Amino acid sequence: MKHSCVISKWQILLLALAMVICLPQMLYAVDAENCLMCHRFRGLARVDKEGDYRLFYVDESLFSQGPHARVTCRGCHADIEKIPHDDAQPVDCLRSCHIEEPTREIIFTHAKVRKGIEDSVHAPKPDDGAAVSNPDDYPRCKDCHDIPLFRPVSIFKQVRAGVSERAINRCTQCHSDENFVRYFYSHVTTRLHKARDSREVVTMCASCHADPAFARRHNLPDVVASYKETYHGKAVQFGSALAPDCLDCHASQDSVHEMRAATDPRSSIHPENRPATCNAQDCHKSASPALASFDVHANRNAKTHPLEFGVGVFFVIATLGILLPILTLNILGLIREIYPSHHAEREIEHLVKIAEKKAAREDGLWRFTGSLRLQHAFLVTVFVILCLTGFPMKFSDAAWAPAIYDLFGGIHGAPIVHRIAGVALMVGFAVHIILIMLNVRRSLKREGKRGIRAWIGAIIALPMIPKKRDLHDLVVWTKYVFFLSPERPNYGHFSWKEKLEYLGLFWGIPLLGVTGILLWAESISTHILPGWGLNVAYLAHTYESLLAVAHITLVHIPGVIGRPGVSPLSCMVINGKISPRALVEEHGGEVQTFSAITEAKS
Amino acid sequence: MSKKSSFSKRGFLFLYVGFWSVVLIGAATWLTVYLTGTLGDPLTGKGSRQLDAKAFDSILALTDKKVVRYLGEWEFLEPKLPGHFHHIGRWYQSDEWNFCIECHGPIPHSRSLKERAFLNMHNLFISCQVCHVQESQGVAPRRFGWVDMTTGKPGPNPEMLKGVWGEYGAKIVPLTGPVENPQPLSLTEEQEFAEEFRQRMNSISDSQKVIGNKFIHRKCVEDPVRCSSCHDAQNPFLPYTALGYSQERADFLVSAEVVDLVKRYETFHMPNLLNPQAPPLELGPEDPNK
Repeated sequence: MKHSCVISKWQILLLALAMVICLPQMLYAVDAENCLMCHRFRGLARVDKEGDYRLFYVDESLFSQGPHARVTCRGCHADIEKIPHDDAQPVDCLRSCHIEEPTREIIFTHAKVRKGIEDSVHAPKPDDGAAVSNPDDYPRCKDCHDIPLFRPVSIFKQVRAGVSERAINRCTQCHSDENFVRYFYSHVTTRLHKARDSREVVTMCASCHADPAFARRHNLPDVVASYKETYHGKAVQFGSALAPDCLDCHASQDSVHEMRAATDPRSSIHPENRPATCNAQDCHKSASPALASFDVHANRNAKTHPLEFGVGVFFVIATLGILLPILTLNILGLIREIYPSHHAEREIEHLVKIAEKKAAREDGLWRFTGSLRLQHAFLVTVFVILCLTGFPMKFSDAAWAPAIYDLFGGIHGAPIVHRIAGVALMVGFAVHIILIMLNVRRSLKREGKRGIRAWIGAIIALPMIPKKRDLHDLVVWTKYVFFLSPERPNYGHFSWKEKLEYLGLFWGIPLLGVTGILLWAESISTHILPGWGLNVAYLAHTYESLLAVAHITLVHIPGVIGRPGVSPLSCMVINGKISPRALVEEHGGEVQTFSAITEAKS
Repeated sequence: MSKKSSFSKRGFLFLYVGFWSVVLIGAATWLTVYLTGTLGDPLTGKGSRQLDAKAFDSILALTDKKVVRYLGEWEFLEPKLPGHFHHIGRWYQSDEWNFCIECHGPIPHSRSLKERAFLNMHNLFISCQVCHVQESQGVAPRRFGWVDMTTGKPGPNPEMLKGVWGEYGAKIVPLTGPVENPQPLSLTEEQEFAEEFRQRMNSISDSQKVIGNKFIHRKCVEDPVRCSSCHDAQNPFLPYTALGYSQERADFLVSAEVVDLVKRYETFHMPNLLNPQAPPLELGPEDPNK
């Protein structure tokens, strides 16, 4: 009995010792002051006299998932000394709180941030000692920070981002307090990557820098819109953790609190430091220092960015200058379909009979060879893939963009698919040119012609090359759709519209291909181009892609398969044959030619 | 037949051309606006807000201004309150049944500086009628139950242990009618009047507004139920255990800790000071279920 009593005392002693050692850890995520008795209710709120909505709710589950979980309420709200309490004073984030900094056993504090902030662009001190204008615009802790949450990474294979249960299991083999293990694991692994998702960082900076009134007060451009138009900004919007957000460039070396103005020689974006920032190990390591002249915040303001403005104006004029007149003619052409001239109707009916006879004689009217149909199918496929992988990037703000992008693997897959499709288009285009050249060569050989003049002559004579007759046809068509003439043009094998589209490919594909490669291999590009060359390449690529897509969707598709009598689908590109009426309406000149040949033969 | 066929063909052609024309004109207009909009500084033409930005942000935060928190393995959407440090998580369910909310909103209490946030907190699970409406002149309600916040139908006691604190999708209401089929204390006339009153607000005179306002609130008491009436160990106004609270929770709500807290806050309650002679409320008949 006596013996058992001695053991009992030891047990009590050990228990007391264990409690002293473990008490701070036991307090983890425990509301020691019982503040949550009231503050766990979401409705604990009021509206101030000034109209501000004040919410006093603390989400217990979210609070326990961040580094502040071990800080008691009074660790921050130190002025609260009794319950019920009066209105709490604003929290001083730089005060010493009641937890120990584990490596040195000193009371933890954020006070070191003060020095960095005071020397940063976010807390300016005018050299002449004058008062800072608009002092309320400069951020306080809570303007950039809300209570941090852990974003742990998993270091084990086959485990998604988050707390790795396998890792926890290994830790708890030696460390008995699983709560502490989870806290420690989350804290450390959160620090292994960005504390906050890049999208949140951009949103945070945008809360001030995208505000027009703020920008005007401080004479700043809209840096957020221009950033979001770069690959950096778009990739971040699609959730890439590798693409740089604001902090990666503006505070690349020092603490984010030590962000400095671009004019400050210590700033990572100072012109002299920019090459080192851009050419960092994890960024454009192999790029030339010339990359630093790439303007991430280039907008198309005529005063501040005349080059970008000029390129933009060129493409806007080119796009609207080409599309609007053609669209006008096409719409008027559709209206003229309702009210055709009797002359045109009679001529069409006459030619249709001739074409029908030929079709009956030759088992249909052939328009496209197998090779051309194959090339067209290839072009359609590649074009669609390029659109689906390019346009979500162009309109990355749109709600539909992520859904389409995800079909191709999101930001880590779609750009690769886009580049493969781009290369395929270039190769297909090269093959097409080679096939044409082989045809020309065969033709010259048959005719026994040689020399560069013969080659040029043969190329000019190709049916897709515009001739004088096309200009005449355009004038006749314009008069016809404006009801100025009853005469309808009878196009030959190819109309001026088709020739224009075809020549457009010779402008668009090389332009998109070259600028695409420059942007793809941006580091190599900077060895042959200045950084601003990439700004121009981007603009050319983005504007030209819109021109191409607009032309295909608004001119080509409505003009070819949207025509009455053809819609909803033309089988021409599938079986290579055209109906007699479609041939007469679109290529009446061709019918006239073979009619004349037939008459001459007979 | 041929004429009819020709007419229908022409009609179809007309529709067809009309459709394509509208599509193409729409697309060309969008393209023109979009492309010209790409030139210049994006800030140009953006007006600054004339409203008090802070107050306006406060209002927006409660409606549509949500932010996404990306935490790697999970994401969540929460309202962004300006200057609010703690996370809110999801927003609470709005009360679609109680018509008082339409004018007073979900955070109606503002007069008593000390108590207002606590009173608003109770709005999560107690309807306005419990404290502010009498069963009849001078008779406070004594029977209470839960009403679904969406349908307005009486329901069983919610499972409080499973849900979030104070958020049960239902609110406590005074009950009337037979014991076997109790109904929420009816304010049908007032509700119908209030709906029309709101619709015609802009067309009636100021004096008419005063009269209408009085009518809507005719069953409201001058001196509502006090915090200390519920948090009273001797005779609590609400029958906690009958409403589904555990005995432990019911005991806590009238414990010395809570009662003391309530007393200290109530000391500052202005309406009491201004109306010290208000007659005490007479209690209605005992709840037969209790």
